[in-house]
Amino acid sequence: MDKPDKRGRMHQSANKKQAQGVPDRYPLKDRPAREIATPVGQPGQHSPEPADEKEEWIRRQLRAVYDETLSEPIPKRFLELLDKIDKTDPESK
Amino acid sequence: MTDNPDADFRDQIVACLPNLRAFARSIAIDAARADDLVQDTILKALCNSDKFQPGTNVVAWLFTILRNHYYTELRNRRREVEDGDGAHAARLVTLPRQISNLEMGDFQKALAALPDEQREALVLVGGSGFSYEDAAEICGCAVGTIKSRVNRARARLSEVLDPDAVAAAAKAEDADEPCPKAVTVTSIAS
Repeated sequence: MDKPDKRGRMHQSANKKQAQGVPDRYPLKDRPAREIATPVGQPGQHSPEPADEKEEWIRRQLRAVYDETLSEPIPKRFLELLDKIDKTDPESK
Repeated sequence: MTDNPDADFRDQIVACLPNLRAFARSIAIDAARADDLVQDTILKALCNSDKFQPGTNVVAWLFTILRNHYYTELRNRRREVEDGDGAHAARLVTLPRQISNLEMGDFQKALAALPDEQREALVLVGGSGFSYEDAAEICGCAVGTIKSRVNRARARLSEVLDPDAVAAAAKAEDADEPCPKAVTVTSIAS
């Protein structure tokens, strides 16, 4: 089992922190979808030099596959779910 | 800005959804299952919004939740079938993936055929655009491990896919000629 507690898994916590500070570093809303994922870490480091044409081709294919889902509209069920939770669970302090 | 941090958090989640779905689909392959994963991720994220560290990458956080959830489910399923009918049942776990692949292009098939850990590393870096460091965070492993997984994934794809053959196949299709489909890919899917 690889470190599930690092970030994703949650146990009890006492203090309720606010997620504010974040949009400042990650102005998610105004950015193209892919860029949402890029802000942390060293810019440019995530795209290694294109070794050859084939590698470049693979890179493009990969993006095409990924972008296909990215460009789909967000299914209503998710937004409805979020709305529902907003209403039923108003600030559980 | 907002006087309701929860609403703000919700907006951030919404903004991440396209990426989250794309990642989910790349690891789960099956689109319906991928969206179930996303839904569970949303619920977990909202229930645990207090665990989110302000100043850290919310996308990475959500990806981590989704990924952990995926592997937990996978483990549980395997355990269930192993408790039941051993090897035969274990095969059933992986079978749906192949079935649902029928409508995929050659590249997607090759991608889907990669080992989970290689595929997710490749997609995190090459699809989502995460740095190696962030991808390592998300996967809970060393940066070097991510790099080597990405490299192995690329090498594997490069090995089984021939761009010229794929392009030629597409061209032949356009020209209504007999199509020399990328033979290479089918060989790894079996």
